[in-house]
Amino acid sequence: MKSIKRKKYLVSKPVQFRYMGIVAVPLLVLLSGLYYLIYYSVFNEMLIPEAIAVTLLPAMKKVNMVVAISGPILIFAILKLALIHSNRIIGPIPRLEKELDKAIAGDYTIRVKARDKDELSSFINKINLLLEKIQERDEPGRSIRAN
Amino acid sequence: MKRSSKLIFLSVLILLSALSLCLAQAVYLKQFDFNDKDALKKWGEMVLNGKVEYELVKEGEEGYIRALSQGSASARYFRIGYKLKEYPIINWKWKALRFPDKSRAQTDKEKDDYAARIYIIFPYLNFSSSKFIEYVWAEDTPIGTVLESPVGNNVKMVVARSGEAREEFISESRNVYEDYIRAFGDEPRRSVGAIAMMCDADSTGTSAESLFDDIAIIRK
Repeated sequence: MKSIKRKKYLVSKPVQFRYMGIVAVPLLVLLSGLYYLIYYSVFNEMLIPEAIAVTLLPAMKKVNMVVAISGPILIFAILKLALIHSNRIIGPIPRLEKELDKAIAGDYTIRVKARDKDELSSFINKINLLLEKIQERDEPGRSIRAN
Repeated sequence: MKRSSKLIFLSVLILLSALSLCLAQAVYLKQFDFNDKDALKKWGEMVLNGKVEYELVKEGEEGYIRALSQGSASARYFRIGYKLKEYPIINWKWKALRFPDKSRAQTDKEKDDYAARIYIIFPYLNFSSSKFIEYVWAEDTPIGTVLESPVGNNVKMVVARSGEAREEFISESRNVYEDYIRAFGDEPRRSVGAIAMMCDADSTGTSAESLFDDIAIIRK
């Protein structure tokens, strides 16, 4: 199977956006929850306002600064990874639909192209194998009809 | 006295004793008389800047807490959850033996040392909104003054006692609910989560000494 390069990552906006949401939102909720839980636990252990002001708040300020800088980068990286992964699943589907339309029209010579990292590559390989078998079976009849 | 009369008298006595016990429990949510030698072990310790020496001193059957800070600050706290509206009063006894020397302190932060403090802590889920009332023994501020804490707006210091060091224990009784409204201008939205006591002299780098006894949380 010929390996082809990915040109477009966003092939089906609603589905991929939903996928990115499913991955990114729970992750961000989890991270925010952990952030809160850690500080709340430390606060609950300290209790005394002077201790909180001297120890917890300066530490929180530093961490918040790091989060403010790295947070957008982290969110961008999570969304980018979710987009790439969603493309590996959803990417081949429009291509598959287009090629199968040709096969339905009678052209069994077509082959669906799959990329190495596509989640559906083995499924596409089987479709290509099926098309090959149909083409082999159809070839004698086609030659007779041509003669 | 007839036998049946004796029985009735005894029953009434038992009933009255049980009733008075119930009433005492209803009035007092918690009492710390520090007469038990292990009483201080139930109090947690939070070290802010070096350990303050807290020890339970026994004089016969009676006990009290002695706190000695030598340029240090640490508190002893007791976690107890209750609605302030139901138990608004806190009583305690204290004695300031030595005040931190603030003669060289310039800023509010440098002056933030007190021989004796009692804390009422209101933890919020959003912990940065948690509120704190501190009752302090100030040397030269009138009783009842509400001071802003250099620590933040959510901490209000109420001067519960003013003046020189004393030879005898001073009894205090404060309506925390009323003090809270006076200090924050609003009713407490959360329950009390803990109470604490502290003696500190870390900001001035001097020393302070105080005694605490008979802390009680009481229904109005």
